[in-house]
Amino acid sequence: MKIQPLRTDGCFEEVMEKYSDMIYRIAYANVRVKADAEDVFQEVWCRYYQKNKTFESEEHRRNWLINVTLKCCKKIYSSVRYKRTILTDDMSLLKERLPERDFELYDAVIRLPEKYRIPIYLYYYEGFSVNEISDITKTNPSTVRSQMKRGREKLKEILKGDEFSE
Amino acid sequence: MNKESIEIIRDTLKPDAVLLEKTKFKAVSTKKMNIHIPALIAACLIVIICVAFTVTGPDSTDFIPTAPVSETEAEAKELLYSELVPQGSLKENKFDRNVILSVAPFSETYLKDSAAVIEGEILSVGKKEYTVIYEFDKFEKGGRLTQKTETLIIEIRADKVWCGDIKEGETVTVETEMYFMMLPAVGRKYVLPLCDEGKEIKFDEAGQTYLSGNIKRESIYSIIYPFQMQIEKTEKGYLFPATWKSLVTADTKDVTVDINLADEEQYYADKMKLNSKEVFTEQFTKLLNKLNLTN
Repeated sequence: MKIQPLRTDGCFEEVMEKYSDMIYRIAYANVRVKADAEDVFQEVWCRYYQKNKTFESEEHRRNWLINVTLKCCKKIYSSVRYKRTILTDDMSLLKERLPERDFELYDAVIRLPEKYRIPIYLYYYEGFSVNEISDITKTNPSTVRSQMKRGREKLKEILKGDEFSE
Repeated sequence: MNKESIEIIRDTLKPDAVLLEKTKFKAVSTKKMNIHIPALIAACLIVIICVAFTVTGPDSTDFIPTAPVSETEAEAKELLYSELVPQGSLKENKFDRNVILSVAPFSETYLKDSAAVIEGEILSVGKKEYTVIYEFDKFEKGGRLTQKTETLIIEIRADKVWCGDIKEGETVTVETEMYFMMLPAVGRKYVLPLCDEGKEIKFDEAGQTYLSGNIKRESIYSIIYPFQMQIEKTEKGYLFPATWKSLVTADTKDVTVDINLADEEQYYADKMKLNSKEVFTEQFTKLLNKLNLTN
C-alpha cells in the first residue's frame, strides 16, 4: 500500500480492512472485555480518521495505530469501571477451540502486568520483532528484551513450565 | 504456542461486520460534523443578529417578546445537572477521592447484599485514619512499611427507610473505605443502599498487608457500591445513573451533565436520568420487591 497523505473514505476503508483484525485482537488482549475492546476499536478508528495524519511509511501507519490502541486500552483499564476478571463469551469460545494448554497460556499472557503483557503479546501472538515493539511502544530495545525476559519468568511461575523461549 | 493455535485466536477474536459498519459510520460522521460546525455556528449567529435587529429596529421599539412559553415547550426544555443539584456545596468539599483502579460494573443484584436502604439528608462528612502495615522483602527479609489509610464517614438522617432495621428519623453513621463518585456534601439528599461490613475494618486480607492498632469501625454500615454516582433526591425528582436499569421507564428524562466531571466520573456524563417522585417510588419499590427486600 502506498503512503496516503490524505484520508478519503475509500482509503480509510482500505486501511481499516488491513488492520482491523489486529487492532481488535490487541485491544481484546489488553482490556479482556468484548464491549471495552469494541469501544477501543471505535475510538482508534475515529482518531485515525479525524487526525488525517501523514505517515512516512506503511510501517509508521501500523505502529501509530497500535500505539493509539494501547493508549486507548490504558485509558479503559485505568478507569473506574474496569473489571479485573470477566470470562466473556469470546473467552468461552476461545477456550472451546484452543487446546487446553494454549488457552491457559493465552489467558496467562493477557493477565500479565502491562509492562510484560504488551511486549510478550506483540512478540508471540502478533509476530513483531523486538525492534518493531520498541518502535511501537517508544521504548529502548534493551528495555523490551528485559521486559520480555521478566515476563517469561512470570509466565513460567504461573504455568510451571518453560514453554516460552526467545 | 503453535501456529495453529495462533490462527484459531485470530479467527475467533475479530470484529464483526456490525462493529465495522458502526465504526466506519461513526468515524466518517464525526469528521463531517467537524466540518459543518463552524458553518452552523456562523449561520446561527447571522439568524440571532437578524432577529435582534428586527426586535430592536425603529418600528418595533414598543415590542417586547413576552409570548408565554407553552407547557410542551417547558417540558421539552433540557434538564441541566447544575440546575438540579446545588453546585456550591460540592466545591466546598475538601475531600480527595480514593484511587480506584479495578472494580466490577454495577448490577442491581448487588442490592441483595443490603442490610438497609435509606433515604435522607447528609448531616456531616468526615474522615478516619487507620494504620496499615505492608510486609515486603524488597530491601530486607521481613521488611515492614507503615502507612496510613483513610475511610470516609458520613452521618445521614434517615427520613425514609426503604428496607432494613433502621428507624425513620434516626441518624445513621456510614463508613466507607472507598470514596464516592461525586463526593457527598452536607445538606444534599441521597438514597443509599447499605451493607453490613462488620465491626472491624478489613484490608487486603489475602495479601501481605494488614491493619494495625485500633481497627474498630465507626459503623457497621458501608455503601454497597460507592464506585458510581449515588441516587440523589432533588426538588424535581430522583437523579440516578442509567446503570439502574429497572428505574428507567418511558417517563424517565435524560439529564445533561453541564458541570466539569473528574476523569473517573466521565463515564456517567451521558448516563444521568431523572424520575419524578411517583415514578421513582413505583419502580424502586418494584425492584426491592423483586429482590425480597421490603420491610
